[in-house]
Amino acid sequence: MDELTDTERTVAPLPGRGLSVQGLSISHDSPWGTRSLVRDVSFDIGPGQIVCLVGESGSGKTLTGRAITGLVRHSPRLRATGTITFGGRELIALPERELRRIRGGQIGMIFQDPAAALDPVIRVGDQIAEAIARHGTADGRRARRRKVTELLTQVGITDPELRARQFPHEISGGMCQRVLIAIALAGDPSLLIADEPTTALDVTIQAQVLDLISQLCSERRMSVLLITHDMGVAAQLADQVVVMYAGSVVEIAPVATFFLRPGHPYSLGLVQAVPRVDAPRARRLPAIPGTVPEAADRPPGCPFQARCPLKLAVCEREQPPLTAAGESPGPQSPGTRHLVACHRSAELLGGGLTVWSATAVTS
Amino acid sequence: MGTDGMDVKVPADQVAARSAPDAGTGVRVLPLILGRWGPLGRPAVARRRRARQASPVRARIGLVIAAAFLALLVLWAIIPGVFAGTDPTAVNPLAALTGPSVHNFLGTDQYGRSIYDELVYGARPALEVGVGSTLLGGAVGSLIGIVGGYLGGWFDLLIMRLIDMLLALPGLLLALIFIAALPRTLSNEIFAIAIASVPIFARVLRGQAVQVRSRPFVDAAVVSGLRRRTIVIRHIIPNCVAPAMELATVYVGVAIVIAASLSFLGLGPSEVVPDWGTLIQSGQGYIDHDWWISVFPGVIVTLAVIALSVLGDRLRGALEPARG
Repeated sequence: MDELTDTERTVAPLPGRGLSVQGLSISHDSPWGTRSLVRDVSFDIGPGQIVCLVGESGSGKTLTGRAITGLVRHSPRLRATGTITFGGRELIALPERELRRIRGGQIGMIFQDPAAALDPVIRVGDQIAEAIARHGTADGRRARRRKVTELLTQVGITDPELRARQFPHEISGGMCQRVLIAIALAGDPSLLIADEPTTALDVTIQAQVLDLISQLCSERRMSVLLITHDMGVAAQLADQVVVMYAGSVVEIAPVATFFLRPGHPYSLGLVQAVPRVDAPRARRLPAIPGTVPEAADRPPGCPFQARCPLKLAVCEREQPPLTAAGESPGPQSPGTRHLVACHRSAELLGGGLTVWSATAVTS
Repeated sequence: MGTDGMDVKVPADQVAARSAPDAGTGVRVLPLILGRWGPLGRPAVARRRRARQASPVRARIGLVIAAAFLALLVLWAIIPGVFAGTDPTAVNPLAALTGPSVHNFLGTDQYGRSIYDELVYGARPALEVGVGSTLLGGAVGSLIGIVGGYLGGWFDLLIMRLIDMLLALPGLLLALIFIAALPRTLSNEIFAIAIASVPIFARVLRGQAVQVRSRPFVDAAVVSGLRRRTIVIRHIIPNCVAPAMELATVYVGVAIVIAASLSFLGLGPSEVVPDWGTLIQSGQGYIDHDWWISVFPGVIVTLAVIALSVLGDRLRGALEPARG
């Protein structure tokens, strides 16, 4: 129905070159003014790498993911600026026609609520076949059906021929997410964007889906942008962690550095808020007081200042730039670099400061 | 009502004016139906809903009766000869204006024709108009609504303001405007009533399309690289079928009433004999003594509308796609 022609297919960029987001900003226009929702976000994902985008609700993680797939431009009041380079092409300014060839082909996306992301009136197999037909990875009905079965098997669904004939409400949430992954894989993507793929699933299924994603990533040398607010997920899968707060990136770090020596007080708060089995039990978990400021009343200066225990006068005036941190502030390779946006990160990493101390439970 | 206390001393002429069938009658009758103790009042409706939920047999009984009645009407329309005499137009002056009896169990009209035969033969044009105009108007209106709702923006705004203008006029009036300008044939009547239905379908289906568009599977379809046209055909339209079917079923009844009303006003298709609306109109002059001429066709039209709305109501429940 919607197949690409051969000439369209030959303009496809080379696979495995990764994604680069530079200075991405997203704003919301309304008759009452413009609110900036995402500000100057930059990060890279190398081929075969898993990058976790973490942060609280309302920090702009999902919007960033939606901007990469071009969903932002479908909301009339949202506007994205900056550059998103993928496979040698800039996506923000790319005409819709060309973007459509990349979406679902080289970029796949899976969603937070898998049951709602499948069309309730179409059989599961037909929804996968639709994506296959669109991207021409198999021609003819027979070949498509074989490919559907193959994809379903690949995402670990038993009895794929039966499942393909069922409707979304007849299968479980975990299976729905596997089907969505199969749809995302239909176009042989080199980048997968997973927007909180396990939030709606229970814990055992979560682990299975995450294993599946990391296994596919290493098998296909596929880059993954995993959007999550679950530190456990980030620790388990990520090569690199990007922390967002109130629409800005506050820290980018390799996963081990992030959990052991975070350079931003917010990251430190996130890491310490994770319960640990090896910590003394009679302690209250340290929590970051307050909530993310509304987009409309973000103060000038550092976005985190209102909740930060290390706040100085300079934090109210200047927004700290994202700069290299750690012991070797020289040139760093993209995979291992550690960037922090905090005026006091050097002190924090130097170990001279105590923040988010755990208090004894008083009872 | 609030006026009860003022009835103590009312002059005789005002009493007469009140009891006359003026416009106020309807207003005073409505509370009897919709009020606390009426059959469509809140307690009664809630009671029936509870009863439906409690017992599947009771839940189905209304549907079964409605479907059976509609099946009968359809049979009348397809094979009227089996249910009635061969010629409903045959005049028999000797049998004129006889009441319901063994020979003519719904009585005869002023020309001695059997009311029952006329009702049976009138089913075909009535259903043709009802179904035909609904299919035509429903298809056009739904398409306008779905496309407007999905695309949004200025197209949606423009179309919906136009639809608002049309909705400001009652369906009968809208049909009347078109039928008055056209030759009185059955197909023109279908066309006119279809036009009257377009704004209703457009309004309802636009709402549905807006709701469907915001659901995550549409985002998923966009992300998998499908074109807008494909998304509308494959994902938006199938998810709009349930409300469209419900509305269409109910609208068949509305169209039958509009057609009967047009015939009653003498604007019905001239070639259609017998016709339910014409029959009601022709019995108007005899209503004091020979009530059956108007009453039985009126009852049939009423029952058809009720049966169709019951069917439409249940159809939605059955068609609504399962979620989760």
